[in-house]
Amino acid sequence: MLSVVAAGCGSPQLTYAPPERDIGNATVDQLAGLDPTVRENVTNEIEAAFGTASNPVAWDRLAVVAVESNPDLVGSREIRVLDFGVIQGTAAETTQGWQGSFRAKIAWPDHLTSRSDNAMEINDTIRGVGLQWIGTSKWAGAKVDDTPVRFWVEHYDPRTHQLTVGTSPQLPQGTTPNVGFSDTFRLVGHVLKQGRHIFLRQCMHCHGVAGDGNGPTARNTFLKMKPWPRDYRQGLFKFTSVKFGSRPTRDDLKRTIREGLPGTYMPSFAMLEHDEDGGLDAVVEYVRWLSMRGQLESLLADSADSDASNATPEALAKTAVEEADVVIVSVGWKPASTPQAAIRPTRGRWASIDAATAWLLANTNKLSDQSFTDDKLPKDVLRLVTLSDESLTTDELPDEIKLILQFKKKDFLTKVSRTELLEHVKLANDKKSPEHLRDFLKSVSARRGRDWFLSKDTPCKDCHGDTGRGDGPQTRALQESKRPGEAGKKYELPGLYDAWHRPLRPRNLQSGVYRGGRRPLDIYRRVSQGITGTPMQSFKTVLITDENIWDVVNYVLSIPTHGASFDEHGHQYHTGRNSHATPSHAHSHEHPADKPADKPAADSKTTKPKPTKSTKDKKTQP
Amino acid sequence: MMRFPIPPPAATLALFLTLVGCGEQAPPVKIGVRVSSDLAENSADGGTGKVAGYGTLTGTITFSGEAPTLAAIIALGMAKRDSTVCAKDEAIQDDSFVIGDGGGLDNVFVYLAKKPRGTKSPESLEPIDFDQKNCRFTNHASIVHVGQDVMVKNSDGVSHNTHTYPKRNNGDNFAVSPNNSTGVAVSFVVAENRPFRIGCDIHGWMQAWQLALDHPYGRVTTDGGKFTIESIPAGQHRVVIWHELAEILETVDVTIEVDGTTSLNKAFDASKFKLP
Repeated sequence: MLSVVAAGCGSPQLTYAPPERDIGNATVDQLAGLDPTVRENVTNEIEAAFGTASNPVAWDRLAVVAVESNPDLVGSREIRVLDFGVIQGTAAETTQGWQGSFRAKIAWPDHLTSRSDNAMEINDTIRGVGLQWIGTSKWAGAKVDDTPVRFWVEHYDPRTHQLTVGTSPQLPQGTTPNVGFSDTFRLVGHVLKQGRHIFLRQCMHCHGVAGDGNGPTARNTFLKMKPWPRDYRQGLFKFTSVKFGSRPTRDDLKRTIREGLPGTYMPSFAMLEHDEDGGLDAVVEYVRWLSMRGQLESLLADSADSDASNATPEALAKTAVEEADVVIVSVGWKPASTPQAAIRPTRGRWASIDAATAWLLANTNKLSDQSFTDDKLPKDVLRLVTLSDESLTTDELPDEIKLILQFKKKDFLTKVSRTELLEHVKLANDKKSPEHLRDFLKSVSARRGRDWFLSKDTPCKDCHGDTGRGDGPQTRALQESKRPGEAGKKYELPGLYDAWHRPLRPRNLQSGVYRGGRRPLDIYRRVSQGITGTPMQSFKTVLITDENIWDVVNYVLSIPTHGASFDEHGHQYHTGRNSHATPSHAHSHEHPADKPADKPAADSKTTKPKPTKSTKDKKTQP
Repeated sequence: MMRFPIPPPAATLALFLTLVGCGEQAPPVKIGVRVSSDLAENSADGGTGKVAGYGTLTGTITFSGEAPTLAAIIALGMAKRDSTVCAKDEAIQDDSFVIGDGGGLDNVFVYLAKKPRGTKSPESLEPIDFDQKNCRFTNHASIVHVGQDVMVKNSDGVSHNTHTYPKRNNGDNFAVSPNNSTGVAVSFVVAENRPFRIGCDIHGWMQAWQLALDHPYGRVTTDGGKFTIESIPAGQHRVVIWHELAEILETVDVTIEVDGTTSLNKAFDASKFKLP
C-alpha cells in the first residue's frame, strides 16, 4: 500500500467527531453509549471506509454507477465507476522520455460527458487543484511492480482531450523506462474533493464537518436556529420529489441548494453554479457521500451494540460491506443507472377544469333541459360539479366516478346546484368569456379541496388548524417519544416532533411561505407524498386521484390570498365558522374587459405570497 | 444482495490525489480509494447450502418478579381526541408489557440473528393484516417476511396514519381513511436487525412493533410467553430475544439437532426493563 504526505499549510485539523456540547435534545453522537473499545472499532472501520475529514476516501462500495469491464485496465478487472469523479485515460506516447512527461488521451465516462461544457469544466478542475497522484511503476510502464511513482497533470487541451502528465524522478534504480508504452490510469474522487472544498467553505458552519447539522453556527446560542440545520446522517431529507422516506434525487438536493428553503436559515447558493465549475454538482455528491457515511456509522453502531461478536474489527469490516449494499444498492441511494423516480401527477392542475369548461360551454342547451341527468355528464364535469338533484344510475359508470359517488352518498362533496352552474354557463356564454366559467370551476375545485381539508378522512386540520394557521390540536398534545430507548415515554414539550427528535411546527398555510417551494407541483408532492422525516404523511392513500390532490392544492394555494373562509371570488364558504372577516355579498363575477383571457386571475394571485406576511413568518415561525 | 467479483490484489492499490495549492483556504486534502473487495469474502450466509436436517426451538420467556399493573393508556370515554370513536366502548389497554399466567411475557421477539444456511424460504407469502381498531393497533408485535405485503387497514370511523421507523428499509408515513377494509399495502426490501416502531401521529398513544426478516425463523411470544419455531436447519444459531421496554434482552447461542427439539426458557427480572 502506498501513502503520500499532504503538503501541510498550517490549517486547522478537522474532525468528524461530534462536539461535546449538544444543542436541543437531539442525539448528535451516533456512537454514544457504545463501549469504548467497540466505539473505537466502529470509528476505525468508518475511517477505513471513508477516511478522515482531512483525507476523505472514495470507497468503491458507494455510489455505484455501473460495473464496467475494461480489459485495458491494469489486471483487467471489472471496475465500478464512482459518482465521485473518475478520469481515466490511456497513455499514448512519451515525448521526453521517462523523466519528463507523456501524453494521454482521456476516455470520459458517459455520465461526465452529458454536459456540453464538460471538457472545459474538467479542464479547469484539473488545473485548479493541481492534481497529483501516486501510481506504481507498472502503471508507467516499468517492469517492476509496486514502486511508487509520482504523477501530475502538466497540461490539458480540452479540444483534443490530450492530457500531458508529468512523472517523478523517483524511478527505482535498475528500471528501464518503457518508452511508447500504452497503459491506463484513473483519477478517482476529483468531484468529491471539489465538493468537500465547497462544503467546508459554504455549508460546514451550519451543517457541521460530518453533516450532523451541528456546525459552529448551529451551536450559536444567540441565534437559536429553528429549524435546526439538517442532519444528513439518517439519509432523510424533507423536501424531495420522491416517495415518503426515500432518498432524494440529485435534482432535489440541487434545487434546495440552488434556491434555498424559504422561511429558514438555508439561503440560496445559486452562485455555485456560476462561480465554480460544476460546483453545485460537486457539493451534491459530497452531501450524498456524507449522508452515506452517517447512515453506515449508525448501522454499524447498531450492529456492534446488539452483539459483542459483531464488534470485532473483522466482523465490522464485513458488516460494513453488507450494510453498504443496503444503504446504496438495495434500499437507499441507488446507483445512477437506476435513479429514483420523481413523483409526477398524470394530470395537470387545470386539466379537469379546462375539459369541463369546454364541455359545459358547448352543451349549454342540454344542461338547461331538465330531463338531462348527471350520468350523461362527462367525468371531468361530474367530478367538478356534483349536482345536487340526485337521480343517478351508477351501474355503468367508470370506477373513478363510482368512487366519487360513494363520497357523494356520504354527503361529502361540495354540491353545486344545477341552477348555480347554469347561471355561470349562461353568463360565460353571454359575455363570450370562457374565462368566467373556468374561474367559477376553479373556485369549485378549491371549495372541494377545502372539504377534504376539513374532512375526517384527511386529518389536515389536526395539525394545520381549521383555518390553516398551523395551530391544530396536535400542536398542544404531548407526543410519544421516539428516541431510541425511550419506549413508553413522552417528549418533554407538547407538540409535534420530527425524525431528528426536534420540535416541529406545522406550516402556517396563511403565510404563503412554503419551505419546499411554492410551485403548485411542490404543494402537490407535499400533499401526495408527505414530508420525509415528519408527521406530514402521504395522502395519496386517501385522496387516490390526481384530481382530488389538485383540489387540495388549489385550496391550500388560495388560503394566503383569500383566507381559509372565502373562495377566490370572495364568497364565504358555507361552513366557515372561523371566519373573522365580513362575508361579502357583492357577488360580481365580472372580470375587467381588458384582462387577458389566457392569464387567469386566480392563478397569478395564489402563487404570489404577500411580502409582509412572509417576513413575519420568517421571524415568528420556527 | 449484489456480489461483485474480487479483483486481483494489484487493483487494490489505491490512487491518492494530493491537493497542493496552499494558496487555497481549505486544508490539504488527499482523496483515496478504498477497494472494498479486499474484505468482501463471500461468507456462507444462508442460501441454498445443504444441511443435515431440521429441528425445533421452543420455550417460554418469563418475567421473574412481581408483575407491575399497567394503567390503561386511555380509560373508558377519556380520549382527548376523537372521543366518539377512541375508547368509546372499551378502554385502550397498554400493550407494552403483557404478562400471562405464570409470569409468561408476551410480545417478546425471538428470532435468529442471521439467515441460516439451508433456509427453507416460504413458497408463497400471503399478505398479513395490520388493523387499527378502537384507536389501537390490533397487531402490537408482529414479524413479516421480506417481500410480504402488510395490509394496513382501519376498522375505526376516524382517520389514522401509519408511520413506520425501520432502520435499514425506508420508512413510510401515510394516511388510512376511516373504515378502510381493503388496506394499504406495505412491504420491506431487506431484513431488519431489530424490530422497529410503528406509530400513528394523529393518536400519539398508538404504538406497535414490527420486525422484517429474510427467513422464517422468528416468532412473537403469545399465550403466556410461549413460542415455537419449527424447521430450523440443524446446527448452531444465534438467537436474539428482544422486548420493546428492554430492547435486546439477550443473545443466546443455541444448537438445533436434526429432528430434535431444543428448549430455550429464559427469565428476566425487572432490572432488564424500563418499566413505567
